[in-house]
Amino acid sequence: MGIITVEKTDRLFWLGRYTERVYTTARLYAKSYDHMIDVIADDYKNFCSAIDIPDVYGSKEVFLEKYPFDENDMNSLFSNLQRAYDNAIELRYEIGSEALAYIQLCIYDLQKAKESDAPMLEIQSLIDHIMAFWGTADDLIASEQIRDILKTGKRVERIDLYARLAFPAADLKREVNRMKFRIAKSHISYKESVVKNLETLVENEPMDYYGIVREIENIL
Amino acid sequence: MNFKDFELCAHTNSINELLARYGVKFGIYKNNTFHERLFPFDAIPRIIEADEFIQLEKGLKQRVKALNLFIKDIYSDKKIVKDNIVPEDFIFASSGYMPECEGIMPSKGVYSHISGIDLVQGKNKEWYILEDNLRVPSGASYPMIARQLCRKSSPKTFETYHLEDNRDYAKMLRKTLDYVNVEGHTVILTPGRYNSAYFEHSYLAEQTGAHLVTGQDLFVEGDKLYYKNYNGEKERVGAVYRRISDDYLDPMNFVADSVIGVPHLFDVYRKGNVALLNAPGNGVADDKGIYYFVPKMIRYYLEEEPILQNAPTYLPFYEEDRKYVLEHFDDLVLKDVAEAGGYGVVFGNSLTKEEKEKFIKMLKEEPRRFIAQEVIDFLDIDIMEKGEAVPRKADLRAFVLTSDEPVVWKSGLTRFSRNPDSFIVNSSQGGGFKDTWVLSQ
Amino acid sequence: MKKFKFLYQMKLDFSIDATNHSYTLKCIPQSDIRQQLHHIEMELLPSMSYQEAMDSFGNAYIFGRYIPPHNEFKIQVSGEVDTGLQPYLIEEKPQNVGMFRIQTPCTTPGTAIQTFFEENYVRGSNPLNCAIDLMHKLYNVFTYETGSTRVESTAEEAMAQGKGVCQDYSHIMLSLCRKAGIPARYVVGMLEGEGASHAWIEIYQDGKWYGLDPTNNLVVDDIHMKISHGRDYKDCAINKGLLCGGGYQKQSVIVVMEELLQ
Repeated sequence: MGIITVEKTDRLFWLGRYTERVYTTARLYAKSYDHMIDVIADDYKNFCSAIDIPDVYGSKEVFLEKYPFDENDMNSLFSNLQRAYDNAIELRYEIGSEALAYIQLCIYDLQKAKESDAPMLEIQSLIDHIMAFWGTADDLIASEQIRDILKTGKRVERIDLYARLAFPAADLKREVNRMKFRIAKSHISYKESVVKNLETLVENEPMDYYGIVREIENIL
Repeated sequence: MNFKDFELCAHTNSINELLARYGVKFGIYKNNTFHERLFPFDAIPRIIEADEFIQLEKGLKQRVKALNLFIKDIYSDKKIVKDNIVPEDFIFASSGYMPECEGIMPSKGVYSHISGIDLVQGKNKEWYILEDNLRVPSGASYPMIARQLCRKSSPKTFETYHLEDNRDYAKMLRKTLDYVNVEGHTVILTPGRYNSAYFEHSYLAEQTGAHLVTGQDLFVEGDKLYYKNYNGEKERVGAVYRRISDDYLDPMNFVADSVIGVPHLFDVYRKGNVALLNAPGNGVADDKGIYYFVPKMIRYYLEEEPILQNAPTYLPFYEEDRKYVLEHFDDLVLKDVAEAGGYGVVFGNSLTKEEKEKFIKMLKEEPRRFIAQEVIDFLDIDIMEKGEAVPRKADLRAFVLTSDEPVVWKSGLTRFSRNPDSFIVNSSQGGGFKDTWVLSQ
Repeated sequence: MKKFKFLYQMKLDFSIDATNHSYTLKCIPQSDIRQQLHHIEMELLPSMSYQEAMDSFGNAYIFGRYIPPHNEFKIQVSGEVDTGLQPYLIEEKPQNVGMFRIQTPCTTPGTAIQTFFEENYVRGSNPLNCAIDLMHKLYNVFTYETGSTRVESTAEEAMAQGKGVCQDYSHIMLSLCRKAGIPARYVVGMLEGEGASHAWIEIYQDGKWYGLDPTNNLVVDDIHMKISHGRDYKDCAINKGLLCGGGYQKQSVIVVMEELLQ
């Protein structure tokens, strides 16, 4: 049995969560960005309400500039990525330099996107690097337990995001199922009652999205 | 050899990008906020010929052996003091001397497990020892990873030149850690990610397979040290490669408000139930004042002539030397023994008349506080600047790892100053680094 | 030569529960050629297991960690002691004596000590006489006053204000002796009739340590029982602790040293 401390377990879990949060919101941002080009100029309002962050931007221009890059905005892509990095940097031993390097590259991508007049290209490479991170994690992290904790974080975050974004029941059902198996293998302590409640919630139409969010935030 | 011969140099930028990718940085505090800085890499290597290295290796082993014997002697019988080789004052008044270490025999009797010896090469090709770092010397990780990335960028270079592989450092370090481990896990104790050398701590942990921990992860129960895993179960720790200074190791024994240490760690060490690398109290041997005595130590403990020379040094503590220092003030560099990292270094000829008078007064009042050295005529080495090779000052930190015998790493950290007029190559004052090649034939 | 029974008790009361309490306690007197101990008993409350150890100065101490919540913490050491068996202690490691010739941050002289030294220092026939002479002269100008200094006060601060307690007398004496090139060390112990722990010094001469009690202007004979020594008070701290919670802490100390008449 490996010796992972409580603190490292926590960091692995949150690295999984923040990486997933950056990944999914970056993809949604890309979609929204495209929409705002010629369809709905203030689609960002829908975006904000969908991912449950306050609309502090006021205009499309401010949103496009601030949401990805503003380090003072705790909901920005940058802030979430920074939190992923803050966890990753302390996990070199657990996840390895190769996987850590992809999180580092994401930071550079976002810095480049900020300077660029075509930021979506850099954001695409950020998304690529997150995929590469997960690929590397799968392939190179020898400890199954470490992979399981990381992925538990990812699954938990995904359920949280999908529920906030009111994804279809089928998606949520699939995610709850994936999470259930993963968390059981991870050896971290969690509330089994929450998993049961989630399984019931995703069976009931119409979906109680707030109920799901409440439960998932409570899982540990 | 001309730098243009190196295909490698064409890849400087991509190597630096790879270094950035792997987070090869050091942290600095500026206006009280933490910044991470990339450590600029220059692709022109420092090259040490095979037979030249053999001499260096012999000299470094000899020096580290003597330094280890010195520390052991100081914290027990003090024969070298009794025999009037080193004056008592240089021991007891040294800030690096720790009375708390008296009578403690570390695991296997090793004190300086990881020694970083700084050298410079003079124009006469002679190597001179600049200082010994026996507390927490850092820097090995940089050439280690740089070599890896250089090989990736320019395989041809490494086909053409036959050099010693330096990527075995982690293996050497692991052996050093295991040799003194008394029983249980081996850990690397870091103050945390906001330490300037955090990259190195985490990289060495990954490469050696030793767990990276902070003080919070460790605790003492009874008279042993443990690590608490995610289940709350305790696992014994037998060796701590600590990357925090003596003062902050244990709030029950040293600085009481240290939050990065482990309460009672020193008590466990005193009982012989854990190995600390390097041993606390080593500062007594790498003091700038003690430096003067290292050649004497070599003669005293080993009955050998020193193979590597000190920079010619004078101790104003001795009347004869004081006279010399005052007569040749302008030709000398003066160092405050209490300062480190390139601070407290004064070139005699750089002072104004008033500054000089003030300095001389201080020198007369507290002669033990200073050493004076002849200014060495450095052999500059080339760095690349805007596509051109320009000569700059550089030093070499050699790493000597001691388990049953000292072993010299066949590489080292070469640091250079960007500023053409500066003699100070410390990374905390700007500058970059190079790989150090030891040719294998 | 005398015989005493003694008791040392230190109690901490916490206004709210303390947990995770790391402690080091240095209050266990030992036998040497000057004093012989009998029937030593030690009690810790709450009762817990602890480790015994010896520091680099040769002082005995115990250490440990008590995790459960507790609102009091008590140590008591008691026993009997024969004192005054010899007028001095023999140094077994003369090579280490030099460390006691070096000033520490709290004994480093400033103007007040410097001036006193210049006006009063007479190079005596030997270090002991010289130190005794300095002690007499210090006793004449320095006033005992409880509460006039803090635990962290330096020798110089105390000297400048002309008053202090046994710790300050001792630090000033250390400062003066070291200035005169005489190795001198700080001693913590108990004194007959005194309700608290006491501090004095020892000075070195020809392989032997002699006790001087500057607070009482006495050469140590048979009414002192020694617990520990070091470079200054910091090496001899009786109680060191680190804990979580605890709120406001109150420390009370009981010291009894009564002569047993044979």
